[in-house]
Amino acid sequence: MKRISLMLLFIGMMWPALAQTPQFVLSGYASEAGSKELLIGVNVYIPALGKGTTTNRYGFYSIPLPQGKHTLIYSFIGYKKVERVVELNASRVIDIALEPSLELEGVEIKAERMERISEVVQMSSIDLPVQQVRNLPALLGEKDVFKTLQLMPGVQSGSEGSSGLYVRGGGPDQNLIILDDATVYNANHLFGFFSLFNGDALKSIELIKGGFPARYGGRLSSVVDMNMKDGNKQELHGAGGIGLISSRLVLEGPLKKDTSSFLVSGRRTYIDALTRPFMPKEEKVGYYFYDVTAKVNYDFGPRNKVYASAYLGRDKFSYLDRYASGEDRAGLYWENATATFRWNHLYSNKLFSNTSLIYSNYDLNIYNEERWEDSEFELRYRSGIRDLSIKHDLDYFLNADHQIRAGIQSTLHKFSPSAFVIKDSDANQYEESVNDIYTVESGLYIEDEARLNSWLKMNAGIRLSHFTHGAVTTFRPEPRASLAFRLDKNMSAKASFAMMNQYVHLLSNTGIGLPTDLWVPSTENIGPQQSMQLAAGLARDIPEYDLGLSIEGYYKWSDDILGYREGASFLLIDDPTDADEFSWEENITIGQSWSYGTEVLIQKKQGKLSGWIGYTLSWTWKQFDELNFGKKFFAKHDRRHDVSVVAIYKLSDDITLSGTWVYGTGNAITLPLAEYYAIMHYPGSIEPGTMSWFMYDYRYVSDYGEKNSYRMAPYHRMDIGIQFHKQMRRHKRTWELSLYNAYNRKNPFYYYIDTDWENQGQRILKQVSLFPVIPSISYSFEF
Amino acid sequence: MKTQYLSALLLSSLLLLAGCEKMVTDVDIPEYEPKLVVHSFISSDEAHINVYVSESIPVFGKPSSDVASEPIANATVVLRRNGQSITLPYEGYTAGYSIPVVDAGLQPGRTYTLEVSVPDGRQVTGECTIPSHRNETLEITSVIKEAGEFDSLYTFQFRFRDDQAGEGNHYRVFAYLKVRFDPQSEPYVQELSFDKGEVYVSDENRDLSTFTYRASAYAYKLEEVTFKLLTTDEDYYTYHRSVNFHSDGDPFSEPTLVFTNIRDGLGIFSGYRVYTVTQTF
Repeated sequence: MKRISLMLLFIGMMWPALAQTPQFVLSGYASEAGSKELLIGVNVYIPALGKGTTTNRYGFYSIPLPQGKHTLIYSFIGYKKVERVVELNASRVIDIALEPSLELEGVEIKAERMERISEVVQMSSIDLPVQQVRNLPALLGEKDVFKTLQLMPGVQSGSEGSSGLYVRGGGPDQNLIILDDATVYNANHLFGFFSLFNGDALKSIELIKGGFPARYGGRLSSVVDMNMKDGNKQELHGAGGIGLISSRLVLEGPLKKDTSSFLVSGRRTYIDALTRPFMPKEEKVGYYFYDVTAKVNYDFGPRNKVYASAYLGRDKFSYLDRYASGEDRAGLYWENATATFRWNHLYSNKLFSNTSLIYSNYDLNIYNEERWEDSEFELRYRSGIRDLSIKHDLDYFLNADHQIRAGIQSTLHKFSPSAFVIKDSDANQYEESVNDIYTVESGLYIEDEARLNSWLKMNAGIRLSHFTHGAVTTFRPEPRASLAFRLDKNMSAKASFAMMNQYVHLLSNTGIGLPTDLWVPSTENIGPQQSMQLAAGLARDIPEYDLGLSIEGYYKWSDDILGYREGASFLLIDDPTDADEFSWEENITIGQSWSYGTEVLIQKKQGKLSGWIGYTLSWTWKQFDELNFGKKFFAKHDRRHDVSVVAIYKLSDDITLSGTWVYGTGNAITLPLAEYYAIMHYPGSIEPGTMSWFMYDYRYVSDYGEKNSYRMAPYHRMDIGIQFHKQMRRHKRTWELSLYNAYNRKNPFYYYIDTDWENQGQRILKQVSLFPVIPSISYSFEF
Repeated sequence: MKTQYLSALLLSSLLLLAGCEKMVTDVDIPEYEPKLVVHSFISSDEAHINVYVSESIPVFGKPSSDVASEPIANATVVLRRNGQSITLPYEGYTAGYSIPVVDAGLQPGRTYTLEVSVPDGRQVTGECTIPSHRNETLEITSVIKEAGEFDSLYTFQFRFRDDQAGEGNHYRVFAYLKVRFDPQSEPYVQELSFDKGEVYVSDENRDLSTFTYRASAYAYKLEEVTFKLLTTDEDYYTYHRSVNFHSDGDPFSEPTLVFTNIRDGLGIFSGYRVYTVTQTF
């Protein structure tokens, strides 16, 4: 530990800025008044010096300042600004509590010191206010963090209803999804129609699309960093909701006032409970999903805090057949579980540390049990991935111009591509097969967020990534840099570069997020995937209208990415016991991809009317030596135009209106356009010159044109919702009515070829759509 | 097994969601102009050049029974090299365009252009080079006869070596037999398929390797066996592999595309050399 601090100090000394050593350190925590919930990203600003900082993800800030009298401004979106005058004669601790501002009052708050995009170095990132997730209309009323993220420029959904994220041309396998430091591997419920996260228990959601800081690594395309709420430290509060397909409840409160609190939340669907009574007794089919989160924390004083949090989500399909002579049960369930234990420790008022122990597990299970009078059969199949990690992060507030972050993380992955047990009393068979693979993935990083002068800020860092799988060891340095040039009071130009490596790969048979998608490690033959991304843009704040405007261009090149061989299929599940002989590597081919584009975002985060307009113009190409005869082709999700309009309007204290509209260019697919006879050479001509083509070997084949050269119809949809709020005696309730796909657009889900028998058997192309207009109603409350 | 049922349930519930009749709509069919399909494999070692011309049939807007495409007899087929050209006449009995190789003056190592046009104005071209080197390393290593009651089982082993240093060499191996099935019948020629060994060979990652083969066949009497080792260009290899692997696929697998090197059209124009080993019995 000491050694790292020394190293930090040494690096710090290389900066000439160190010459002007500050005398004292002002530090502390920022929290919400009342609940004492620690707040992430609160701005701490000293206007006279033109300097400032923000609270880290544990609500801590520290800023070294010269001796004297300073006026400090603490501001955070959705909270009232606090001004403090501090006489600094010694280092001081100031914990600050911010009062939530009612949204309506937001208009009156001078937006002077609100979060300003022109001031942060980080580009290509989106802070999604949790409240906005709650206010937007959603499919069947199920609020969904990921579907809200899909409304941002540069982020697309794969297909109708899916919660997979396609960020700047990357696939859903290239997103690092972290919940309280734990990686979540399959963030889907029910074929991806619902994501694992409903937002009730979340404090912050950040999506990074490029210019990745060195503290993140392991995926090519994006980072979705979510933090759970800690729980109210003062009094018991709760919230819940009853929707068409599920109900949810969150409870939070103090365990020991001001020192310790807890939070539990749960959600469960009840289609199975509703339909079961109507099924015959002999045959039952059911489906449900649930998720549960829990968190507790204990504050040992300003120097030490501990947090423990856990998540469990499960989907299950089951089937039961009862006969006179026995029964037959089968089912399929998949489960995500994470657990994180964190310890915050202040080594000094300038050096903050966090140590995390992390567990994450994803499992798919298939079972079949047959019990008859004289025999028994049992099959269990399982595949999954399990992580055990340790992580140590340091935040070193060197001086008002340099904040240094450094850390180390090491993860032991256990991959179980397939494990099964078969018991068969007829065949007197008992078979068990496990083929677990253990690998270790590690990262060491350091980054310096620096203010080089009044017009230039940067965050430069490096991450050293390391991966061991058996005898194969890979070590790769990943340089990262972001720059922000201040052009005038409200505008800055930004640029960034990031190199990323991905050591775990997802094999997906369908791209629609089935639970059968399988995580596998890099091997001798299938190396790590790598990407490099350059981004540049302009960020401008328009304080008069409370608007933030950003325009970004990016160019991303990825190498050694995975593709599926033509004809490859991963529907392993047809017969799981075959998995043993199944070698996934043979179905994989390695290639590269390029994506580039421009994103425009105009966002209004608060006020009577809030929301955003996003537009993306982009291209995504892929090239694989073994696909399309080596020629490059458009990725399936190449999307030339992508538009989203999101608006939330507070009509009054009691009524909130909301609406979203999205438009996206259709997916690129390969469609048979024509057919012809392909003649194969027959070198064994018997009578020279007499070979007729009828004697050749030929096959009837399809002309598909170039790979992915056909475009499906564009996707567009409008959702609208209205919420009625009312303050009751003890609680606040909200009724919400919403329409998904309000104008009943028939969006393409997939195409198939059909024969029109009424018209001489002509072949025609049919489109299948998934969701028509779907109304929903839900009730929610909080107290 | 119920697991199959389950995966079907999983997928079909998805499709069920989408299955409401109302959610299926017609889509405007993609526009498609039928393309000329040209097939020709040329070699300075053969006696004739044959070119076959047909056209592709659009999938959409035509009855599904309307599959076959007739050979096109009124095309103009021209073989060119260095400003010289020769037109190939159509021959009804082969349903293709043909001339003797000597008339065309085919030579190893030379590059030829094939130009095919039809009266409606469509024109396609292809280009290929006849390999300058001919691999002549094929040798029969054993022929074993196991006499049966009436028929005998013949097992053949043979091999060849990639004799050109550097990757990028491609081969095709072919064999046929002249056999009698009973004492009275005329000799019959049949292709021999391999129990071991690849038909289309690339030396990628296997430069200068030896490739071994085994094949067997039943016959009353074996009269003659012929092995052919074709040294081909890369397009020959790519095309045949893609035709062999062609599948329209299930909805969850990627369709396989068929290779073409005919500009503005479909099909293949490629060059090869052939080395023949015959053994009579």
